[in-house]
Amino acid sequence: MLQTLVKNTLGLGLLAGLMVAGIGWVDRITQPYIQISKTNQQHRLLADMLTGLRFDNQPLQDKLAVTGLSQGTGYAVRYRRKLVASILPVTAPDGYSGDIHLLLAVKPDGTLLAVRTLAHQETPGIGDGIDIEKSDWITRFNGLSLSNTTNWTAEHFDGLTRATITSRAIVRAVHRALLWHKNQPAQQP
Amino acid sequence: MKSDTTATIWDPIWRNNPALTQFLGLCPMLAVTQTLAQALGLGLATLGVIIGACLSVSAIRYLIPANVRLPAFVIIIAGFVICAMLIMQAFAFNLYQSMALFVQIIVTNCLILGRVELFASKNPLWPTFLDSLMTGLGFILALLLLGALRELIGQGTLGDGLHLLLGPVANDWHIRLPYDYQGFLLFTLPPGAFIGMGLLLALKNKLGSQTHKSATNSHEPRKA
Repeated sequence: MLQTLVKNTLGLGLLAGLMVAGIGWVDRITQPYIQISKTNQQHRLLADMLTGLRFDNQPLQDKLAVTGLSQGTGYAVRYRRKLVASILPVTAPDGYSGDIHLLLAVKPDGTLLAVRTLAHQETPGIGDGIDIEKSDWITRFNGLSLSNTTNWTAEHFDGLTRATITSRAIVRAVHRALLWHKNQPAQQP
Repeated sequence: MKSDTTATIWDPIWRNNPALTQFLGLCPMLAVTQTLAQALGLGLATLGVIIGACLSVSAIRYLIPANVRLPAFVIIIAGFVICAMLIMQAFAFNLYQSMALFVQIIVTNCLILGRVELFASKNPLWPTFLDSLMTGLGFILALLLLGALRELIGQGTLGDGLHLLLGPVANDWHIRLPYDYQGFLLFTLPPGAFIGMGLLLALKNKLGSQTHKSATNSHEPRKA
């Protein structure tokens, strides 16, 4: 009885060990491809957000601290070592189905270049219009700033049809990020 | 004799389709068939896992004691699902991101455990390979039918996103319904999946009963 128990346990353990080794091998082979895909995706996103802006550094390697705004990390976009835009991550916790992760591109004077939704769990066909792939709605923030837009109450903005809660969460998060950006000490060139 | 084997081999494609006749694997089927591309992606991942798991179990079937066979099967299936996830992430990253959760859920697909238990654990490699291949293809067929139905009615397109799975060669492989079809949202959401599935099953049963009728009719003259 005990002997069968021990034999079976060892057998299952050996099988599990073999499977883990196999998975480790597949992981090692696929990691380079996955990294390339992830980096490509990030580059495409940044290029999309920064269209028309002249810059000559690698933002993904030029990190900005964003303590007080979000858990992630920001990136600096520079031209001839002067800061021309900050990439800020911000999370809207009050989305319809949970957190919505956004990425903002802000010029040093506080003007928004672009906002993009990185991850969300909003309803397909309704709230997912915040995704640039599904609709242009998120581009309505382009060019806005605290100075040229006085009314930042969420209800004032044209939301996505049938996605009021989602739209307002995003407006609030963008506003919060702009306020944070304004309160930062001026970035040294 | 030969026609018997042929029938058994092709059964899982239609007559004994794992999803439409045996009702296995309905969870992923209802969840990831919003578009044809998603359905195809999940189907291929499931096919890979079925074939891999069945062949592995068949190879070591004499080494697994009967009383721990289920844990052993699940270990093997889970391992293959993780590999499928990694491979999909590496070669179809964007598509993977839209259905990451459901690729992981392939582990719970009773279809795979059922095939492994019923067939792979008792048969040699070649028949196991054929059986798992046919079952996987039958599942893909069911997924594609529901996916096409839901995408066409729900979004008005067919093949949206195929390039994420098949690469740039498929950039133009999609069609869009004319007349500014707005899309019937219900079919993109889960209730529509259930309704679509029900319609598909009704259609299959109707077709099945018709072939049965024509078979009986052709026999009668001989009896007389």
